Amino acid sequence: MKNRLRILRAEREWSQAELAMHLEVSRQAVNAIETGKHDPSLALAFRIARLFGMAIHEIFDDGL
Amino acid sequence: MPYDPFAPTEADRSRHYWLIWFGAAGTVLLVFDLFADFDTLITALARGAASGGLLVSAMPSRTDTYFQSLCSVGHRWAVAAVSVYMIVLFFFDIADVAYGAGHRMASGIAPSESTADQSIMTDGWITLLGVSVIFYCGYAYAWARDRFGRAE
Repeated sequence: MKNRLRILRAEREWSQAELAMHLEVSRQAVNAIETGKHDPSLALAFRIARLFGMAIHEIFDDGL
Repeated sequence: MPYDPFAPTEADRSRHYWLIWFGAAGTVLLVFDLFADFDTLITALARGAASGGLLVSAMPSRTDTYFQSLCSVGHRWAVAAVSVYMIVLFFFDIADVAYGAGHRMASGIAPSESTADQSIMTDGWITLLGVSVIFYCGYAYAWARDRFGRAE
């Protein structure tokens, strides 16, 4: 699934490890989500949206 | 969210990925041990690493969903291997039933032990080691697919 996570992270000048710390996941998980290799769970998608103060659909694009 | 002083950190979560590789290395050593007969200390360490990797994969409470998704590929492969293994034993037993009936008709004496029981396939340690190897292969496949595969 395409997403804006890398852009949002870059805007805040966070490393993947820092974002992972905020989201309570591993750095590898952040990398996999950023590159579209892994779709986050609904709970994690909510955490990401809440962290960036955005709606889930503003961050993730399911291509439909 | 309430503060949890024992909550796993990012480093704790990242460590799980390494633990799996230690487990894979331990399993490979154990496979070589079948032929090379290593020192007892090395075998013990390899068994510890191999079992640790499997244990980490089976305990999702302190891991993230990405790690679990990689492990689930390994688990699926391992379960598929067990099913294939049981199907092969099933065919051995079916063959024994047919062979035994023919043997009894010809000589009046039935074979005392089944082909499956005589084969290497009912050796518990080798079977478990094989399933462990297949789990780690599945994990490695999923990891390599994500690492080297094309991004969306």
